[in-house]
Amino acid sequence: MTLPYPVDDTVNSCAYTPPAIVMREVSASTSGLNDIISHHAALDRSFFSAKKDTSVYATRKYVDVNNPIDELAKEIIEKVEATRQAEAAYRERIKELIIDASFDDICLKKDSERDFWTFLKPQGFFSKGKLFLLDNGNIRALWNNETGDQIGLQFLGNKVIQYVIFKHRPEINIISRVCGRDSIDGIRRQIDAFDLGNIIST
Amino acid sequence: MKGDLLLDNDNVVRYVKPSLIDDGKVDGNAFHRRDDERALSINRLDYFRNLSKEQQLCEVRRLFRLQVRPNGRFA
Repeated sequence: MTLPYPVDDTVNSCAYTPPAIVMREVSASTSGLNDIISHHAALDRSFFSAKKDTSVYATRKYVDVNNPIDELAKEIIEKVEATRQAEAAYRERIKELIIDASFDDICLKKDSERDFWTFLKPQGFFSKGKLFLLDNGNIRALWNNETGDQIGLQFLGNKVIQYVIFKHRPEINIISRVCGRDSIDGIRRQIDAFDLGNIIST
Repeated sequence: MKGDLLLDNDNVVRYVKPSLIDDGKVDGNAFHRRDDERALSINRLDYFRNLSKEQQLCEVRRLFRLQVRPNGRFA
């Protein structure tokens, strides 16, 4: 990279070494870099109080600056891929459940499966939880984490969910438990109220 | 036998079918009594005295009257 002004690498140069650092974007795009250099070169000169004919030197020191937009794009791509894999794993698991249940003459209720996807899809990015098929033909989903928090949802059909939520309270070292039946939206609000959304979503 | 009381330190297992197991995790409903059941069916390991846990489980599997599927588990 060629700088628009003379550069002196010697540490003990008699010329003033401005503290400003040339920022180098660590990405494929260097658009706007010249503007950054010009902008900071101008700022350095405004703080320089040497004689008028004294040369100004910049350093070759630079820091790597990660482009936040590239980092965000990378994070989103990873989450999209993880969600895609989780959805594929869920669909595969449901196929297995249907086959397993056929040995016991149990049929998966379509209403229950539909409500499961209605609950899950709007989560956006989600991770894979555990799926079970109960004797009544309903799907039950289970998510938990290493701190003892747990969400168990049985999809009863007609947009009704039977739930059990366990939330660990570290400040008093107990596990708070709540259970009941609620609508799909009601369950989402309950999960948010317990601050457990990150168990299901990534 | 049916109706006998279990001792506090008895060890029991119950067969869990594959639809109630996911990635090694057993759903709690596996240990719920069905509506048409008066009690929960279990297998008492300590019936087989002087055997190791592995041997007791082998005996349970051998004598179990229901079909045990490959992905099912005794829990």
